[in-house]
Amino acid sequence: MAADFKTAQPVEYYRQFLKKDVRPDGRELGEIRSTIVNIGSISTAEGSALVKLGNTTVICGIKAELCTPTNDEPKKGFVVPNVDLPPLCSPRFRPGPPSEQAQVVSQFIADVLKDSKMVNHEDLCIAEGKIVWVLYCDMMCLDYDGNVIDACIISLLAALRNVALPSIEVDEETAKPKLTSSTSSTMTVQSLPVSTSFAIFDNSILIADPTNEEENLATGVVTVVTNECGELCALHKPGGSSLSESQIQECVKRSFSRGDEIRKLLDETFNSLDR
Amino acid sequence: MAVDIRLPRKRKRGELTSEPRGLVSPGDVITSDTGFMRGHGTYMEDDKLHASVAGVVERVNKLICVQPLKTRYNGEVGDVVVGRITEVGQKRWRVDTNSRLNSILMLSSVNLPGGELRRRSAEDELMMRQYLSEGDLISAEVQSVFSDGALSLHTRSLKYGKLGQGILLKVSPSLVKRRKTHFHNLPCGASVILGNNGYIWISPTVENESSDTAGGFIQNLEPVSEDERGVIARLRNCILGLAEHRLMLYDTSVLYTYETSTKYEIHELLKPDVMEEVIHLARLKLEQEGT
Amino acid sequence: MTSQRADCGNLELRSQSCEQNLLSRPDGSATYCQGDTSVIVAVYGPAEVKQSKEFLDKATLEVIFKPKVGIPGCSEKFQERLIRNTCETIVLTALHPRSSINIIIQVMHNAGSLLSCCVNSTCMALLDAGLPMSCLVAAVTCSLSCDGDIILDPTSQQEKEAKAILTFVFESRDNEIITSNTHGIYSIKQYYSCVEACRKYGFVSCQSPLGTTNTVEQ
Repeated sequence: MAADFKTAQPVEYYRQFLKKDVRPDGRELGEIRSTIVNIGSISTAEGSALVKLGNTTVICGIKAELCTPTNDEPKKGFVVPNVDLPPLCSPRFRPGPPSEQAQVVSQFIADVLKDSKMVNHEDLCIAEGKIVWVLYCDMMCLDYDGNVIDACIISLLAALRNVALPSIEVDEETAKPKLTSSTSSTMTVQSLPVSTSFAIFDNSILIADPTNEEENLATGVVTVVTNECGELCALHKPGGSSLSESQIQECVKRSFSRGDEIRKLLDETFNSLDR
Repeated sequence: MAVDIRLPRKRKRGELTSEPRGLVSPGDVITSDTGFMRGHGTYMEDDKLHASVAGVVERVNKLICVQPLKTRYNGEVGDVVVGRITEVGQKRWRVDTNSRLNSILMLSSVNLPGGELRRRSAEDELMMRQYLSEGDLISAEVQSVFSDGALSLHTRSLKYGKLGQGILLKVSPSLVKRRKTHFHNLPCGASVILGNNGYIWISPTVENESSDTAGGFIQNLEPVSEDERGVIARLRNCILGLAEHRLMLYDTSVLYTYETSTKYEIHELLKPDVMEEVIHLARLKLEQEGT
Repeated sequence: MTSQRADCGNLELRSQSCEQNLLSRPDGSATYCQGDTSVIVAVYGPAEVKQSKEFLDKATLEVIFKPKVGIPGCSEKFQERLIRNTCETIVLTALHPRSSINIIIQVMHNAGSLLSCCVNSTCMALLDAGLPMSCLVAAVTCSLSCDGDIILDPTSQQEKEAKAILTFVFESRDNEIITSNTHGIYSIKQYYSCVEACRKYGFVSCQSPLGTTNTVEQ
């Protein structure tokens, strides 16, 4: 009976739950699903991480290649993020060129990467003006259950910390790069931005970490990206119902606490790896 | 030959005699009174009536609606329209009437040549192109509106049908005032059809409109004299001037503008300052008459 | 040191101008200029829609963003998504089910504050097309310099030197934020002060559309 009601009137069904301040999957309005992080799962990549945010699963693999830098910035390397939403993860994505959703998420992550200065591009320089590293970060969603932006950013953060670049030197005689030693150095990730997404329901209620069904019923979405210094890297609200100051304040507060949680989780994961 | 050159100048707003009342933009509250019925261009929220388009508020008894300033033609039953045939199809013609969707003129809605009343046969279908083909202009009346908003036209009266020699003008549909008749034989010597869809047809007056002229399909292709052409050209400039200054178009306004423009040459009316003066005088005359 | 603008101070908007109904084929068109930044927008609709894209209960909004040079890429898709979501909030799409509304934005010149110029001209074009909307929107861009000064409506030089660039879109009824898009790092206090500075000018911008549309004499 509940299933019929849900199909016929999904918004009303959802409202019934919200009246009791709870969501259909049992969470409270501000509660975020359990996050699982697994690093180094792809042995052929320089760095990798798998993140599960409830059912949403994203795997990030980073491949490092060599290339020549641009003329205006001869000391800077490149980091190229790309998000792929294949037909595997959800029936709404069809095979073919990247969907609009994938392009928008890729662009958002590229902006966050640039604005938050996660990676110092000058660290990626090997020989000024001749050879630099380019890191291709490919995030593939394996299971789409809402809030793919948060999962992608966490996986990108974890994978970047996991990246081990081999040390390369340019041979003076042949002017070709060669491996100096078999040890590799890990990347220093300078800032640790974490994003938290909210959905606005019925123009007034804020729900943290929406699932796929909640995203479809929402009247608006907000994504807040915070870093460890208590600053905001992005407050992205693409249209949707209007938000008052107090609601924005609530979102920002929740994202700061979420950011601390995730950074602690990542620290624990990396510490356990070293052990 | 002397050529007129003018520098570009800032567009003047034109003197307004009074600020038009009832201008609203989307989101403005029209009234908080719940006793009104809401019409087009409005929406209800929190027991207040808001406007959803930019335009003028119109009130008819208990019905409030907002007429947008610029819109495509939205047809109503009984309107007179002037349209151009764009396509000849199976038992119907598609007519462009400046609306969102092309209007339809069914084969069963036209008068057959000779004025016969009979069931349309397959032969009639094959002869459709001989009656009206692509590019022809017609005047017609709106018979009904389809569910998707397309209009169904008919030319069942002898005053409608294919149009012969003349000038077609396109203005905004909201400028054509709704009157009892849209066919005017002006005393200056030309006929004007003010289509509700904003298409205006100016043609020389035909002396005797004999009623057995084959149901409106034969075009009058006799040569038109130079005086008549002059009258038609002057009327065209006047109507375009009225449209530019946003005055409503009806037989009286067109006639007054024509009369005040006689002191200028026809080609001088194309200059904006001359036209402004003419329209100004015409407007004063209209206000004096109290229309 | 931040570059100063010659024509107006930091907390003022550049001279704005708008013209509607300049193209003859689209249902609505408008061009909006903020200083030297200028954008032209055309709106077609409600029109036929492909069956694969149609919604049974509302109109399908499509936005095409054309940059001045180059082929449209990921960042153009991002802008399209932003503007589309903003328009879906204000246009009453439920009044035109199974139809499509196409908005085409062409960048003529980018001299800073491009996103807010695009949103403003889209709103004016929708107004010109006579599409039913629940309210008007006004967009304002501001940038935070390294010293923490707020500069409204920055030029491209000021944007390059800025620490953060924030764009807000306000709606005309309650002056609340519909859209917010930011680049760069800033504190929450700076965010609120930018919102307040922009909101003051957003309100002024909402009043001006009525002044620029033509008046009809009855």
